[in-house]
Amino acid sequence: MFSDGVFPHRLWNKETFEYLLGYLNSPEAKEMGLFLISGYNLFKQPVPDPSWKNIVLGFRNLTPKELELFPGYSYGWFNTALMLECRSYLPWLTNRLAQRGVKFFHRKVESFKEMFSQGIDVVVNCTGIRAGELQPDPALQPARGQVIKVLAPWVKHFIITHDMESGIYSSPYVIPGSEFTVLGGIYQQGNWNEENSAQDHKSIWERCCRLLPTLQKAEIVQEWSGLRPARPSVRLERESIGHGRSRTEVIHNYGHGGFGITIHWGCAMAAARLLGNILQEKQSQSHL
Amino acid sequence: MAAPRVAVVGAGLIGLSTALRIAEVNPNCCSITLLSEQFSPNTTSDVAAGMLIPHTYPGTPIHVQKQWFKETFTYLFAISNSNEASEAGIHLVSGWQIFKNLSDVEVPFWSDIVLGFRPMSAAELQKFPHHSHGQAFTTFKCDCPPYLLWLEKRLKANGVQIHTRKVTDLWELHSEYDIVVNCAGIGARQLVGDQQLFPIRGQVLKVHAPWVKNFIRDGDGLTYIYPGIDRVTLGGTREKESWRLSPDPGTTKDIFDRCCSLEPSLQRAQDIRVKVGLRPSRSCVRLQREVLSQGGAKLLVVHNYGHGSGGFSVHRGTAEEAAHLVGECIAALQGSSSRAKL
Repeated sequence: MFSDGVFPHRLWNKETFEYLLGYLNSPEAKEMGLFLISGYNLFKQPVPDPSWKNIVLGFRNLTPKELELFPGYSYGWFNTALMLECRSYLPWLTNRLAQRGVKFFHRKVESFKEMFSQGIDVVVNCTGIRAGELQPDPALQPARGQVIKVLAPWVKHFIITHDMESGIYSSPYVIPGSEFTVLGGIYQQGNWNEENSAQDHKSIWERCCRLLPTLQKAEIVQEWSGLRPARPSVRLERESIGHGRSRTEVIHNYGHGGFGITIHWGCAMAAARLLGNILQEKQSQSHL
Repeated sequence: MAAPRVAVVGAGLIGLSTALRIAEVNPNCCSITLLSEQFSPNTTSDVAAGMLIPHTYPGTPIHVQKQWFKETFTYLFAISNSNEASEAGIHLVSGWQIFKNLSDVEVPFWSDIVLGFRPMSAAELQKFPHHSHGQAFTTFKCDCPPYLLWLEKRLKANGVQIHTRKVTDLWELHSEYDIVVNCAGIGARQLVGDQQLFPIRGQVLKVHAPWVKNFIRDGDGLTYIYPGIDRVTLGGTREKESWRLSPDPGTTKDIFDRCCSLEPSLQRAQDIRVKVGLRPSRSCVRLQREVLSQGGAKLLVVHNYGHGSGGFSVHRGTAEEAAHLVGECIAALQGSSSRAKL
């Protein structure tokens, strides 16, 4: 949800939100893992409204009574947002692609060169955190996160805390899903380690239980670590690689950090437009 | 004089919460026993969704209802902030009350007690194409059986005895008890012959749809979607004077269709369970003392029943008032016993 106000992140956020809202009332919503959820963003001091305040639904400041629910926090926002659970969304997308005749290959791509020699005209590079293996990109760095998944079905709101000093995602957060509730609050720049850390577990558990004491009764179901593909801004651009007959067009679409789901559709449409440009160029070239 | 013996009749929400408040307010000065034919999960309270959204009693001044609601809300607020919340089944839930006509929209008396009450934005209303206005707010839900079981546990911790017993006439208790608190709900119709008490039958569906996180309530009060801990309650009906406890299949389909039109994803709901409850309805809650006497014997009674569709919203407030009335009864007994010594 944190686009930092960087254009065009805000536009992509808006496009994604509106696209998904359109599916909310459709029979597909459950299969997609899509649903509305309301919740709280908490701060220790007043902050300006976020750039996305008019994108989400029902954005408002918290009342004093509401803040009594969260001792230690003196300011905050309430809004209704969308949840999109990827363990449902990815299979749903896969099905739609398969229906359109898209072929899937379980294969490691070693280089763009490998693509040219196979006669590929356009590569859309969505390799996330591993993009650097195809083409070095010092701006792309892992931002390691760890989460604890618990059973806490009585929690119906997301609660995201902010600590202006420790930065985004490193302050505790509680996000209820359709089955499990995710507890998190780890953001470690430059850490490639995908193993769960006992210290991080302790930090997440203690801070989230302090935020929401009822979590102490929640059963821990799973723990997981992942690497956010962090970059100062998303790399969404064309690049021509090689020359002459072995030229390949590459469209880069990676580096979405901790907000990929939030902006994915806007990015996808932008990438599709770039592809459209390429196809038009090729068509006009073939007429020469 | 020996410690007064108090019996509370009824183990639904009102009986349990009243007994608890009496124990809290009068520790050590009386013995309390709870008597009921039915216990959770077989009470009317177990059928209800347990949402803290007040019903307006035509026969009670608004400021009194507001006070009851405020006390109840405050009580649950404290539980929800503690680590007992999940055991007690108390959780916060946000959502929307929606209206088809502007003329139906009112700012309710309780708008400043629930959290964050405000009109819905145009963007929010887009989810409900058949409705033109709405109100958004955050309130509590008391899931049953958990809340009732938690109250029972608190009662036992406070030394309250609990017995399964069908009471057919309050007078039958006069030799064993000095004060009887009548929380028999719809049972009061037979128990004390109150003709002003009548059932409003409600059929509900309790379904598995864990992705539904917000409540949706049509302002007409007939169609609602209330997400609980494990199940979502879909409702409902308001059938006056119907005593029918068995579910009606046609009604089930109708409720399901109405709720799906507000929340289409409910089409994918699983494991649909149908329940029926008879709301113990009355123009006002009967919250008053009465003295029953036959021959030279007396039985002091405190009535606390007739909460209709608003029981959860005011339960702590009416329990407080009932406990106060019991305190008056105890004082009256002690007064007359010291007079008897002169």
